[in-house]
Amino acid sequence: MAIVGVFTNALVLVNSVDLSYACTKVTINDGRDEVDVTAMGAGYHAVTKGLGTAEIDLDFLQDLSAGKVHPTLQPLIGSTTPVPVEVRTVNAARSTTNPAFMLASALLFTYVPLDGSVGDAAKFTATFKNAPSGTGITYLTA
Amino acid sequence: MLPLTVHTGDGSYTQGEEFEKDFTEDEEAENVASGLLEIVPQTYEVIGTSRVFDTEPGETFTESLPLGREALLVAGGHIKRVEAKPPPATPRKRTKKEVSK
Repeated sequence: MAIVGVFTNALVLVNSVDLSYACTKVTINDGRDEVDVTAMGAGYHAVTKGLGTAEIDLDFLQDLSAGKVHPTLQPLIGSTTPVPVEVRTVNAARSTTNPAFMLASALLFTYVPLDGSVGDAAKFTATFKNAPSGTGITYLTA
Repeated sequence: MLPLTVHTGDGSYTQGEEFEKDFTEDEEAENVASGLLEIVPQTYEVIGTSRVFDTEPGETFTESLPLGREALLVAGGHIKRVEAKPPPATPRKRTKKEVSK
């Protein structure tokens, strides 16, 4: 069994840049809309799957140093160029027990570089969503 | 079946031939998606302080990066292109006449 126990060393790559050192939380959302197709005479709601939702939320500790978090994410918010975002549960090679949760064609939609009160850690959430040419979340084992 | 020759404003190229042209991001994406063109891998040096493409700062990697992604990584201060060194100049053989001079 390969239970994902305590998260301690996930790998987070944004446009192939390793930002794991500053990432505190990862959320992979691979969802489908619920579409009600209930017709007359039905005794229950009939629900089918509609369009998909592919989203990766990453919580970071802000780092404004050259080549770190802010210089990596800031150019993405003004860009319409899709970039890959990849998360692995362990910072090791992809495998069947350590697949890559990949949004191969992602756009950054929310970047709040500073969001905190006095005494808080300077943390924020970056939200990546599927770009027009994207194929949603893929699970790569190699 | 792909055409045997690609015509651009700068010239015509046959299948398998490499050439340099400044495409826009959209043109490049369109041509790559259609299978007409392939990006020739380039060598990059990681100049920032983060690992990029599994490569430590100061080291180089070779990748076929689309223009847009390359621009974002350059803007982030992560990478720079490593220009291919020109081949060493081969010493020109002197003719007998030149030797006698």
